[in-house]
Amino acid sequence: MATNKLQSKRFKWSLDSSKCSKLSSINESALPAPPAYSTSGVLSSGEVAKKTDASHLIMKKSWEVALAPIKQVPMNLFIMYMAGNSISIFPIMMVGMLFMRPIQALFQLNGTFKTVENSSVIGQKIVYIFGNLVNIGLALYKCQSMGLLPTHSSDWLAFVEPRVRQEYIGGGIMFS
Amino acid sequence: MIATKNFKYIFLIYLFNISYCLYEDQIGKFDWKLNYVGNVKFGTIDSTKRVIVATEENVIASLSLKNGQILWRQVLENPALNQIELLHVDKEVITVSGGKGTWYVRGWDSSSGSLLWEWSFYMENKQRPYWILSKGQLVHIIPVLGSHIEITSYDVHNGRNNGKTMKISTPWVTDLSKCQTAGVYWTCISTNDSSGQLFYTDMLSSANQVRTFPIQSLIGSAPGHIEIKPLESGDSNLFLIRNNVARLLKLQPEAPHVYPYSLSDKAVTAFNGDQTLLLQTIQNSPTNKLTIQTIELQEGTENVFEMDYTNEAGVANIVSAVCKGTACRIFVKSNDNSVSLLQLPGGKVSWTREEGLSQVVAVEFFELPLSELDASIEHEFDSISGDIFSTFYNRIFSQIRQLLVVLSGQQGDSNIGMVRDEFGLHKIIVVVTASGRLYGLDSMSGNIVWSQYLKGVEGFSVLGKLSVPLFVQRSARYSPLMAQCAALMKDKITGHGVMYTFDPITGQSIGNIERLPYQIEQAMLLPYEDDKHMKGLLIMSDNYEVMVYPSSAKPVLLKHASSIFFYTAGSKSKILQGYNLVHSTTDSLKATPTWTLNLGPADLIAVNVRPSSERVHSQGRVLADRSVLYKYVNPNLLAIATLMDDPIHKQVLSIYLVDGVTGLVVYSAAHKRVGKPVHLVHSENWLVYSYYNARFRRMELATVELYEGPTQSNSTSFSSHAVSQLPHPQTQAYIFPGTPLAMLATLTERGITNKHILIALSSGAVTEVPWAFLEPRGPHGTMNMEEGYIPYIPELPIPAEATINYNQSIPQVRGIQVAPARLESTCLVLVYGLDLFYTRVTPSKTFDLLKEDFDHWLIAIVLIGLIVASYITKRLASRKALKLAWK
Repeated sequence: MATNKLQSKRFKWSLDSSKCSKLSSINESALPAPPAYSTSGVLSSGEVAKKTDASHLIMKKSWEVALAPIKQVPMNLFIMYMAGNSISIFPIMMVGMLFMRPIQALFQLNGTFKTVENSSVIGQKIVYIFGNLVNIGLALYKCQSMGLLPTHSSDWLAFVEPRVRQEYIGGGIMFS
Repeated sequence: MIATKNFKYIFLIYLFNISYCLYEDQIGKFDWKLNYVGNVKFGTIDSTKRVIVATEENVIASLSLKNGQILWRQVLENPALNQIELLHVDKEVITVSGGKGTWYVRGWDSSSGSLLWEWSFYMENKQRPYWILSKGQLVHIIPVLGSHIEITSYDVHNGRNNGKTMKISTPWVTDLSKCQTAGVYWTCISTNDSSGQLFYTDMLSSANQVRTFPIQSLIGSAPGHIEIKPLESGDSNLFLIRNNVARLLKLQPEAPHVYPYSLSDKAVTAFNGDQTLLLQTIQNSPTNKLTIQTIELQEGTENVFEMDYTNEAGVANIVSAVCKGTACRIFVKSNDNSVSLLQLPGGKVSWTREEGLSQVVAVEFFELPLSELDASIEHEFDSISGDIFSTFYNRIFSQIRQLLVVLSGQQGDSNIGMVRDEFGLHKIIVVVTASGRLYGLDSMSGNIVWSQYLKGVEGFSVLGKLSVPLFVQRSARYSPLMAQCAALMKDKITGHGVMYTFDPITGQSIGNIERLPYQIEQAMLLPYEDDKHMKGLLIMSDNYEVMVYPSSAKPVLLKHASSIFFYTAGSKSKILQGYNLVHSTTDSLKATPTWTLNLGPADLIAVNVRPSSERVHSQGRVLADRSVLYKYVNPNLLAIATLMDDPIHKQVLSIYLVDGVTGLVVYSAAHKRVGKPVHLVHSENWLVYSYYNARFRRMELATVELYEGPTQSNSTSFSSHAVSQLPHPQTQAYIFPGTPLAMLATLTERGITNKHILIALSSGAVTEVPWAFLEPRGPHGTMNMEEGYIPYIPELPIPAEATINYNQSIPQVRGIQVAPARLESTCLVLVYGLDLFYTRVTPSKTFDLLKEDFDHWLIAIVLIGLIVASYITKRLASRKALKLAWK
């Protein structure tokens, strides 16, 4: 009883055209097809077109993803220019962002290209990595121009140990 | 232009403001000051309330009879040139002081010490005059040997000269050691034996009658050397001393009256109503206590009192005494220059003032030992071989002890308080005085912890100053082993060396006072420790033999003989000589001369080396282009200053920096037309010296800084023998608007903190000048400005905020001594002169210490509150979430 009811419930909303042979025969013989309805050949060709379109889209999408870091370069250059070389909280935050974003992006490389799995995206990955490296390079350049990189000998002065003396001296003005 | 100059000054003052200052409630918190009057020369008990003293330090002061505190004190001119010659206490206090022909007569209010009147006069004759003050007349006597005496009398209040200078023919004045003034009389003896004559004449009478009496008729004839001595505070009384026995004479217009008592020459008189009492100390008493004898002059009643006075130095003399009925108060001075007030007939000591501390010649700071508890915890780690159970047992045991100590609330140790504190601020200051007494002072309070008197010794005279070298042979760090310090002095009579080794914490002598059979030429502390952590002391005798004390240090010396060098600078011979010890053998140590430097006709005025414990943290200086200029930090560098008379330039000051190992002159400079005082401060890679510029009549400071260049020739070790090129000096000079009496650079544990130069000024202030202000800018500075760069101003400011002793003037400063605390930011300072002043300085502020007004409670309450609040809100939030889920 319960199963019957469940079935009837399901049938209420589903129309199985294969089961009802009468309807199909009527359909085929008596009634003309609705306008713009073609029963032959369309399905297969449409399926093929749909398939090629998706892969094209994926390619397009993946290239978009791959080129995003490079597209950011002019924007970063502008930010760098605007931030100036003074060392204060906002330029430091900006430099931090400049560093963080490409590094994070490089760590999440596979995650980024997961949406376009099962197709080969090695080229895109290389371009993507290259773009991020360019961004890191820009950040390094910014650090360099801000004087944050320990490239001078004075930056290592604090680690220079006092020299060990080889000789000891004593004495003074004579007492007598 | 003016605007920029002003701006610079404002900038400077701003810099000073951020670096120092003391709040009013911090007065006396980190510092203490002990006031002294000096070595008492004259003293008079003027009433039952106070005693007026005049001292060798050219100080006049009033001490309370009750407790010995200074009621008032007036510091007069420089004691090297001016001395108080006469002290007269009447309704007011009258002093005559001066020297070299200029004399100041002053009247002081005896209760407040304020100056009532003053006049001065100048005499062409530079000879030291004799003074008589009687009935408002000040008589100035200049004897001319074999001919006459010149007498000038003045009205003491206003200096009016009553008549002209009188001349009395006195052909019997042949030797000034045989002449004295006694009351209003000028008196002489003709020969130093019994056959002589006694002459005396009244200086105030116009008759100028000279009386003559044969000494035989006065004190009888007996063989022996006869001397005359006036009586302290006596009227017209005079001692005739023969064979250490003194007879008292009262000089009268007719004939002298001789009292029939045998006295010591140090007796004094005290007035008891209309009676006169004679007081004297008896040296050879059966007990070791001081005994005082009183004699009534008229009746001859003698009394002997035993005093409750124990001072191993012994009493030098009774300065003054006053009696009222049977009760007497006696003001005595000891051989160690301390003064005491004794009471008769009880024999009690009312108070003692350690006036010896006004003549400090050497100072050293010593670290205190760990407390017994801390030491026991340290000992836990001593036994390396201990197994796990014994270590565990030790730990539990010491923790239980710690708990017990905390519960009982005491340290349970005999020397409570004299233990090391967390920051190493509590130290013991060992001080050697000119009188031969050593004191241990608690650096927290200035209290005397111990004192030790050394008999028959004195300091060495180095460049006109007394000096007692102190050597720290072992610090208190090695706990069961005692700290050890050695002081070198010389015997007063033979001049032979005396070595005194002692524990600086307790003052106990280690072994006996070692009297060496030779004179000490120089000494040095060996840099290497033996197996008992003892550093040996290397002493060079007057015939250039080298000795090592203790002998256990000899193998250590021989092991490192190739790296130990020695130098001497002869102030008389004007030759600097360097030695090595390479040729020493186990039998004999040998100092081989390696280099000599002849200073020629120039006088050696100062030699300075860097403090041996100094550490240089930063090895270079960062330039504006972010490259490094490496410092030339040579630990063997000697700074030498010489002064030479010059026919054209009056005096020429020469400064040399000499490598003490090789004798290489690294740097030299000469300043023409300059003079004393010259002070040197040598630290890190720089030298600061002050001199008087006679051309512009001002004091100047000059600085020299040595740099190796942009590269280091050897970055790991420094050897004086490896000289690739001379260092590059940078120099600069500044006008200093003050007269320095002493200069020293601050010293900190690791040398990270900035350096300040402490300068004691003649005005009584001790000021701090940051090294950054004095740093030579040179070509590197002017080319491109560095960060925090202070522009060059020729005249250094002395802002009042930089005075470390705020409003407490320190007169007659003789020296400054510094020591690092274990806190990197802090440097301990003791300024010594007439007074002792101790404080802490923090050149880079207390960067490693929380401020004392830091609110621990607020922080703790806020933190706990936040934690509690976060737990409560967490709970509330979970409840709310649960309720929502049920809806």
